[in-house]
Amino acid sequence: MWGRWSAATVFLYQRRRVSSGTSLACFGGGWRKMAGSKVKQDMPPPGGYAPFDYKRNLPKRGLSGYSMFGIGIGIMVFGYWRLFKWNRERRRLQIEELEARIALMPLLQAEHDRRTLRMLRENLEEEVVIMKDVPGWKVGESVFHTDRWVTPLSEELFNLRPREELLHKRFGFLWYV
Amino acid sequence: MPFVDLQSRLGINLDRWLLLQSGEQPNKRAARCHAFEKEWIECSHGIGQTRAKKECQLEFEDFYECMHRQKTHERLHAIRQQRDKLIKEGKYTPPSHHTGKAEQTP
Repeated sequence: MWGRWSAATVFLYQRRRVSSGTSLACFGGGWRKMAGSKVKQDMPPPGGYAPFDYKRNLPKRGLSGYSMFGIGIGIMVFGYWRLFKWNRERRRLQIEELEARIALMPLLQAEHDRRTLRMLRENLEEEVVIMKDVPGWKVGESVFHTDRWVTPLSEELFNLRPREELLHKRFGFLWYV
Repeated sequence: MPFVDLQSRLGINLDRWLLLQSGEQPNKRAARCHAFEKEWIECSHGIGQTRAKKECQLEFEDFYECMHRQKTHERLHAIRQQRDKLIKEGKYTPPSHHTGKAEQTP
């Protein structure tokens, strides 16, 4: 019995040797401390480690809150000033464009009137040719009882032209549906 | 109300501003039938409806025609029908400025 017990002790002792400094060989019988062992362990360098700071380090840096607000508001004010200056300049440019429109209006109106009259004249001459044989047709008859000038409709002007031209006149500038 | 004329009495203008085309328009842009309406109103004002229907019929017809252009459209339609008939029979060829091929000069 003793021989078996000592053999078991030696076996367990060999198995247990890498666990810790004070290794506790624990087996069926009880506990046993290992003192003064020659085990290779990972220890700090001689003289200890170099010092390092472990305390909190939250330095005060950067601008204060007031100055950040100030910088933001300053940038905004500068932006507004630039915006207002440019808007005044745009207003001047817009006035110049309106003046140009007023200056060109007689020319454009005259051109438009000439074109209207020319188209009316062409329509009249074609009407003479077309309605020659229709009984009871008075060429160039006005539908109104007055002889005031009535601005002709687009349909009247573009009556004998392809329908595409009338659509272009009415809807050519329209972008929306 | 016809005899009370509440708006004049109170000095307000709730809807009189939109009753007439010939009234004051925004941006001073005249209506298309401004002249016809003005003529009709000047003719028929103050003489009562029965007389106005008899005496101002021409002005009223002109105003109606300006608004709806029914006679104009009928006339144009007749001309177009006749032209298409003649083209089908081969007696008429539209001139170049009516076929969209001539160059557009103002």
